[in-house]
This record gives sequence, structure tokens and C-alpha cells, in this order.
Amino acid sequence: MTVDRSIPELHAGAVPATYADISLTVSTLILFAHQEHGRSPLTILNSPSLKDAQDTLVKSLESRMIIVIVASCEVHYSGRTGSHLGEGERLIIIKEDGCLLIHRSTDYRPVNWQPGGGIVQAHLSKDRLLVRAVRTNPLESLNISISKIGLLTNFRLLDEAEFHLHASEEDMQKAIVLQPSIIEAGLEVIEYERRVEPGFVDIYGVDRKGNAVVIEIKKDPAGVSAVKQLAEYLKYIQPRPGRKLRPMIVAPGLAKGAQTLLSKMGFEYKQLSLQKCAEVLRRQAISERQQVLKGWLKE
Amino acid sequence: MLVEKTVFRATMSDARLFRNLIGAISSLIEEADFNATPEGIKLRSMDPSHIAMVDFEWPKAAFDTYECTTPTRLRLSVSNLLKLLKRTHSDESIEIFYDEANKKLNITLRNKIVRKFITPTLEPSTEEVPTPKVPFSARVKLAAASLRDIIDDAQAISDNVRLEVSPDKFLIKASGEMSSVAIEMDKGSDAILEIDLRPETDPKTGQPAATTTPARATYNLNYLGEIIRAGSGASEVTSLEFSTNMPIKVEFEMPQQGRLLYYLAPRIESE
Repeated sequence: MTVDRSIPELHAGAVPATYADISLTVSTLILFAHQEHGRSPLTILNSPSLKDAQDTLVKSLESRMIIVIVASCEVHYSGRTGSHLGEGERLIIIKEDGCLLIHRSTDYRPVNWQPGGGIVQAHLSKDRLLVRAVRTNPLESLNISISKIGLLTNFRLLDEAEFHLHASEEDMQKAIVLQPSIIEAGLEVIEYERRVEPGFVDIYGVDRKGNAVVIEIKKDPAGVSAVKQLAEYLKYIQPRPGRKLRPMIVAPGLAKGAQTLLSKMGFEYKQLSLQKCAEVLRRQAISERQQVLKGWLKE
Repeated sequence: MLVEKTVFRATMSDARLFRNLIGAISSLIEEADFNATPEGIKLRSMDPSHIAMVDFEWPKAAFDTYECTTPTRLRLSVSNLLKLLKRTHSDESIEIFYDEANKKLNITLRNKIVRKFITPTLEPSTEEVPTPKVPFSARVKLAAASLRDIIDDAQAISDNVRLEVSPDKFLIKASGEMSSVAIEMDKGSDAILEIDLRPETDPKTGQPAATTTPARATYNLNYLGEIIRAGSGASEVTSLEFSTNMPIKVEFEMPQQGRLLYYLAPRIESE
């Protein structure tokens, strides 16, 4: 059996293992990272002088590009607390929103960081390149003093995909059944997965005043189709005499157009996040050994 | 003729103090009834699973100005309120005013600029939450920051923590699948301000036992962690009171007769 041990290399911009290996020539490469989309230049400075690095850094910061630097540096932080990190080789990342991360050779967490929304500047001072990230509220500043740069690169990422957390409508339903008060105080769940002609009603309950609450759950922002689906179910549900019917969409958000249709139909909307449902389920999972305060509550 | 009457209006010179208090409540409670009376504001509410309770009192004297003509019950979304209060800066004063006609709470933050937030109130519940009646045999008073460290240590290891108080020692133990931690604090330790242990009370007869035995109980760390973290943001001194397999009362010392305390039901461990 053969094992492929070759390491894929970036052609001219490959990062050598130590600075000693880096030739003094500065090579600047313009690559096209996303050929199919056209313009998305990628600059790679291999072992640049601090002056060249500063020029590129300033331009990249102005045009809000992502910047990745491998450098030998010292780091000072002052703000809510203070910290100092002595000279050493680090990986520095500055993202489009101005957030800054400094990584050491291990650990998934950065050793120092600054959230976005502040100001990032780069200055030359004698034989150091100073990168400063400042935030005003709370007042915090992160100062990186760079003595030597192995790699500096800037680029943009085309990334429009949505992040999906793996939770389901079933989890949301379970959470509501376990703890109906996450919808509203006094709500009681009578039935779930109630069969009606066109399908199943997610939750059927009564509120404090005895009105029937019919809930349709969506794990994604609820759109027009969810409202229509709920309207379809209502044709088959009759509230008790003298009581109202309260159709309700429960979802983490509303999609475009749904709000208008909701108010037109007179339906309610309750925002419920997947995190909140996960929290309810987690608390339920705390073993049955957990007591409740009820037994000690005497008037 | 329209007669304008102030039902409730209060001001505090440090808005952040108020924010920390609301933060301390929000760790357990999503929505709560605030009872405003001419004497001050009170809140007592259980978390949705009825495992923990927060009991909060902020007397008239703790405000810079306080005006409440009729006892008023305001139900508020605590998380929503905290969202607004997170906007406070240092050196800002706060005014809270209840606009009864529109059932809205007006929060005004004043510094160089004046910012007024308006937030709706909810339909108050009629339910009264009684205080738990627990005969406590052990009491430990300690620095809130030390307790917070201890709880963080335990939470790194396990979901539950076992507390034990003997006459001269406070012992905290947590064990997880892989590791365990034991923290021992003697009566003379700098972190401990007071230790007091009395004989346990017999739950049937209500009589104290003849001998004093160590108090031992286990609590869920998700809850206890939330409580300690929330309270230590608002106060520097905590006292813990509990008895064997009974709820724990966690009280944070507040200035001006203010009160911030929590109850948490125990876990019953098989022996």
C-alpha cells in the first residue's frame, strides 16, 4: 500500500518552515482565487520589508480586505485588563469587519483578539512595524509590534452560504410541549401532531382565557407558504363556543412578505430561536434526581 | 380637565448599577412581575422549570429619587429590558417612568445626550410566589469573587457540585467522567468571612437534633453557575445557607437594605 505523503504547495508563495529559509527577494503574486467569478485578487508578499508590508497593509485595511500575516512580534493589550506577550512567531488575521485575531502555534483560540467595529492602523517606527487596533467602548487597545514578516497576504472571500444549525422542527415542538411558557405564560398544550384533513397541526393548545391556540412551527424564517399552510388547517378546526381561535406561527424569524400576509389574515407570530429550544431540552435532560422548589413552598 | 398623575417614577445616578441588577435577574427569568410600592421595588419569580427562584428587593432609599403613588405591578420581558440597559455608558444616570395610560415603560439615560427608550409592558400575572420555608443548618459567608472561581473550577469538571460544611471547614467537590476536583477552605482562610453550623432540624417534628452533623447537599452547576456569575457582578459578598439535601439560599449583600437572593432546589444523589 502506498501512502501519499506529499504536501500540496502554493507555487511561488509557499511558506518556508523558518524565516532563515526565506530568500530576501520579495515576490508579489496576483492570483485569481475565484476564477468563475472573475475579479478577486490575492496578493502574497513573501518575506517583505517592513515598509512594503506597511504599504500593502494600509491599502488592504482601506479596502477592507482580509489580511493574513505570519510574523515575529510582541503583543500588548490594555483595556478591561492588561496583557503582554513577548517576542515570538505568530499568525495574525484581520477580517473585513476589522476584527483581529492573533494565534500561536497551538490552540483553537486566539491568544489575543479584538472584535470588529474598531479602528486598525499600521505605522512604521524605526525597525518595527506597529499594528494598533483600538475600540472605544469599552476603551481597549491591542498593539502588535512586528520585527519581521514571513508572509503577508490579502484577499476577499466570496461566501454567501447560510449557516445551518442542526436542529429540527421536532426539537422545537418537544421544547414547547415540555415548557409551553416559552410561547406565552398560561398556555397549555392539549395535543401535538393533531391530524386534520390536509395534514398535522404541530401544536394545539388553550391559552389562559380558554381560547384555542393553533401553532405552526418553522425552524427557518417562516414564509408566505407557512402562513398559507396554517390557514388551510384552520378550515378544519372549530373553537369551543364563545372562545376565539388564535392561529400562530412560531419560528426563529419571518421571511419577506410573511409579515404583511400575517397581519392581513389576523394571525399571530411568536419568535422562538433554536438555541432557546435546545436550552429547554438540555434542562429537561438534567436527570430526574433534580428536585424542584415546590415541596418547600408553603404559604 | 386632564389630571396627570405619576404612578411610578424613579431615578438613579449610576445607570450601570441598575443594569447589573437586571442582569442578575435575567440569568434565570425571562419575564417577571415587578411590584412597585411606595416603599420600593420587589420581584420574586421562579425559573420556568421551578428549580430556582430569584427574590429581589430594591428599596426607595437605594434610588436617588423615588415616587410611587399607587402600588403597581409591571410585567416586563427581562431579556428585552436588559437589551436596552446594555446601551448604558458609564457616568450616565437613569430615569424609569411608567406611562400608565399607554402601558409603556420609559427609560431615560442622561449624560451629554439624553436618550429615551420606550418599551411595552406585558399583562401581569395574578400568581403570588411564596418564599421557600427551609430550616438551614449551615451558613458560609465568603467573597463573591472567590466563590465564582470555585464554581468555575467545578464547572470545568462536572455538571453538579457537592457542598459540605463542617464546624471548621467548607468543602466543595465535583467529579466528572474523567477528573475530579476538591476545594477545601478552613475557617481561618482569607476567603471565608464566616462559617456557622447548627444541628439539623427534624422535618417532621421541627425540633433540632441533639448533635451537630455536617451539612451535605448537591446542586446543579448550570443553575448555580448562572446564579453566582450573575450575583457576583452586582455584589462583593455572598452567603450560602443550606441543610442536608435541602434547597440552598444564595444571598448577595446589597447596599441600602437592597436584597438579591436566590433559592435553588437540590439534587438527590443515591448513596
